Amino acid sequence: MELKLENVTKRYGQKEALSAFSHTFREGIYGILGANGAGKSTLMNLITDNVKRDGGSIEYNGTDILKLGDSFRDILGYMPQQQGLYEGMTAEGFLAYLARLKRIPGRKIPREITRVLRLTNLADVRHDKISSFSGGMKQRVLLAQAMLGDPQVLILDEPTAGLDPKERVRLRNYIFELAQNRIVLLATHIVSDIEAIAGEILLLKQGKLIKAASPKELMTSLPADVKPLMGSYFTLEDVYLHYLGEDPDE
Amino acid sequence: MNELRRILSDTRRKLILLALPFLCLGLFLLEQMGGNIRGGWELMQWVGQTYRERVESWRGLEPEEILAQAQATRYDGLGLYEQAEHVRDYEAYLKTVQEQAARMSRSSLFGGDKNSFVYRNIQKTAADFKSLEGIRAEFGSDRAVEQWIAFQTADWFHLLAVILFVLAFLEDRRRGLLALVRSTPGGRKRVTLSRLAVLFGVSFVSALLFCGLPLAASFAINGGLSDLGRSIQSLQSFKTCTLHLTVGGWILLYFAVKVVCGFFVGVFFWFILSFLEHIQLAWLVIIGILGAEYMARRFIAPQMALGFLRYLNIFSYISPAELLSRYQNMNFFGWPVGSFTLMAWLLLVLFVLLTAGLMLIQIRRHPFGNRDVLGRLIRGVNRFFDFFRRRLPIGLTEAYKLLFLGGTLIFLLIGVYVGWGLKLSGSDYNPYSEPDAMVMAQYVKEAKGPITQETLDYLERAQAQLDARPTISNQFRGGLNMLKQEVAERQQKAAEGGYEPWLLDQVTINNYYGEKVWYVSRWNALLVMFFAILCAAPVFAFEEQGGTARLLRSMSRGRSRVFLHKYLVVLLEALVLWAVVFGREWLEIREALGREFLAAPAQNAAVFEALPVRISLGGALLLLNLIRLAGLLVTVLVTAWLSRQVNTWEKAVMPAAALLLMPAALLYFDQDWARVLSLLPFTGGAEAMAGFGSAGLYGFLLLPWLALGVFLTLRCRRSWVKTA
Ligand SMILES: Nc1ncnc2c1ncn2[C@@H]1O[C@H](COP(=O)(O)OP(=O)(O)O)[C@@H](O)[C@H]1O
Ligand SMILES: [Mg+2]
Repeated sequence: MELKLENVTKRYGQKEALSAFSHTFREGIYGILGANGAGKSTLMNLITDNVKRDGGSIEYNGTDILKLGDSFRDILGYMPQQQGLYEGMTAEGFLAYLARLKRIPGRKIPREITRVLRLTNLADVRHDKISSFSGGMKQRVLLAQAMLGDPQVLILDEPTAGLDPKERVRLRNYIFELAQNRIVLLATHIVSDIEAIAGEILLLKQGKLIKAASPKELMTSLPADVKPLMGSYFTLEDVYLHYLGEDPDE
Repeated sequence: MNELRRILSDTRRKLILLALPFLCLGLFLLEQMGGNIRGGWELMQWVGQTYRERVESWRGLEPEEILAQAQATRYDGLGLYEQAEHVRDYEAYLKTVQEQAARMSRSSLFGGDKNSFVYRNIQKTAADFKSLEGIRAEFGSDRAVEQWIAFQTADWFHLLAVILFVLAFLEDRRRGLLALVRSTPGGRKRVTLSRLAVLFGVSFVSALLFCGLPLAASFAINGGLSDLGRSIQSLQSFKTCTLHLTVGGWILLYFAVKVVCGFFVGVFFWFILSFLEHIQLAWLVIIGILGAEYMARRFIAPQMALGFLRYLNIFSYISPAELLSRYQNMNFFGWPVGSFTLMAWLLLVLFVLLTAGLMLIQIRRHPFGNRDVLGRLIRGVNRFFDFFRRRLPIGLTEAYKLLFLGGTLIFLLIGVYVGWGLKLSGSDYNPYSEPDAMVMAQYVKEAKGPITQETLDYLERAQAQLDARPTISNQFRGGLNMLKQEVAERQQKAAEGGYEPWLLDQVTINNYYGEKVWYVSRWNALLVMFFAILCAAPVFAFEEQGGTARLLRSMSRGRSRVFLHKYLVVLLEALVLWAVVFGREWLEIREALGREFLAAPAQNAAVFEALPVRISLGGALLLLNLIRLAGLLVTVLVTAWLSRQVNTWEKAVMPAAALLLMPAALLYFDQDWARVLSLLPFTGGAEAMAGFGSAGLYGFLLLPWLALGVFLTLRCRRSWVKTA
């Protein structure tokens, strides 16, 4: 299982939202770390074929995803950054509809819904209208739909936005459990979301991939003249600030 | 003021509130125009002008003289005759009331039962009417006030404005702001008080707009501003009014009452709704209460045992005109009580109670009485429906989304309701004033069918009958001659065209499809297009608005499958709209002509004479309806494409209206040059069929329209299925 991006480029007008991005993803959790506007969502939109690519190739097991089309989408789970839900539907109605869109066989749908609802701790409110949910609950509904049908490739765009610390930790744990035998891409600008679970972290700045390495490697990669933020040892925060600091947009 | 600013910061609400006064005034004018958009304006002006002139020329005359003069124009709808009658009879009416009471108190019939309601009522009425002695009804310009007071739609607008604000008060709960507002010290009381103030202000402004605008318009049309000093009893509708007021005084009083009542109705609903945690239920409850009360008002007659329910009704406050203009006593355990008095007291008491209750609810505790009994109930209902929703295939889910979540169900229902009420044919071809043609129509009824030897025999027999009665009126001969000519013409044309000649009921066919009644099909088609646009407009826009487009497009069936079903659903909606109007027409014309006549070659009908293809009448009608469907199809396809370009419903509706409805409306108002720009001839049908004939190739303009529709659909599909 391999998702290979090569020289992937996306321009909005003159601006390059993503410049010649190349990386190969295999099983495991990948943290895409970058400030707002760094190009994380653009990357995810390209992988989910929601925006048009201006150059490069995205191949899944050797075939371009545009060619794979629906059969790539069959193994894809996507949680968009923007909260896009049908507020008037119940949680169950919403998941049932998306399960159908994901080509999950009708008879398996009830079990599948129950599974993802349990996983995201929403089983009690499955018959409630989504409009009555808090921001965190809506976020979990979106996560639940991404996990429908056990996708091989899971694309999570800032999944922890709007969650309280408790929910944040819980979500991180789910994702960690989920990650066996699949490719998980998790975009965030919050270091703590990924430092404990990501096998590899990709630092993205102004559309460019600055560095990609395991958390440990990243910490040892800091030049000698960098001083830790606090205390006497480095954390990932130091890495973030060193590579991505002096935030242009924030 | 903060509260007001918060409420008005919602753009959609602001737009609605801005639109309401215009809509209200528009509806009033439409009513004055006799419901006719075409030619109604002139009619309205003519009525106003004539009314003014007549009132001026009759002013100061004795009622009897006016009656004599008005006799000639008694039935022209201006009501001047009745007005003069009322003026003449008013004094006598007052006397009758007193006499009746006196007679009753003497009568042995009631002598024994002076405790009955009827008896008491008559005595009370007499006592109340005593004070009216000396008041004179004066002839003058009444129409402005009469038309205005009859326009009850204004009350609905007032109600709607108030309810929109009440719902806005409840909104903070949904947005989770309540806790915030309530936690600030003094915030709760202040917010509640400022909301009451806002509500009062809304009622005041609404009264000013929704009563004031139609009143001003009514005076502008009908005149009568100088007649405001007469007693209010001078107006027919105020015959039983016991208030000592001038017309102008009454209007001021009405305005004040309207403000107070509107405010009260707002408080009433606010109070009730503050028990509801679930805002979705709010509308349901409002509609439920209004429905029940409206039924009571509508179907309970005042004299029935439950008669008091008619007045003891929220509608007495929503439409207080009746209370203020009509004398009415309610049966209150055998005692007559003036309905105005009673309702005024009731308003006062309820108002104090409700306001106090509201303050308590808002200030003291969290909305009580809802310890999630309601929540459990809703959950149960949802669970029940989820059982089915879980099983909905994609197509049905798309339909559910568009109808319920996209909100087009309401437009579809209104469209069906409106469409169902539409008139499908004109009567412009009926031979009202041509005796010969009327007779011919009778002959046609007997002789219609294929023109054979039998038909010719029939003509001869009819001729023989007429010859046998030389004294018979000339119109019979004329009618028969016309028929003979028609038969000969049909035979000749059929021989030339090589089809079988038939004698058809041309009048009926013409009344549906003839050029003189195109205004009918144009209007119907315009409305069908309008509703089809409203129904199709959110189809993609609401996915973009809710941010769900991305999600759908990341799934294997979220692309071509969803796209296909979205189109199917909007087309189905359009088909429903087509069916209520043009499907109904198909049934109607089949009935009117007789089913067997659909087999006649179409060219026998004068309207289809020029059709270049040889088909039956039924075939021609089928073709006509296919053209209509094609026109409607293009409408929907263009709208759906627009919907894909934008992210709100309005943004799709507006260009669609500009592109499709504007030229259509121009054409409807006889701007014939707009024909080449408009789909209306196709959605209307008959016009396009005429355009396919030898007269011109105009009908083929449908092809570029269809091409446009297909092209836009392919573009739209590309942008949804391929990468945007
Ligand atoms: N639809 C768009 N049109 C124009 N510019 C865009 C669009 N989407 C994103 N961008 C720009 O591309 C850059 C990367 O955005 P994005 O991928 O959303 O960043 P991130 O998700 O890391 O916050 C930003 O500068 C943003 O302004
Ligand atoms: Mg982003």
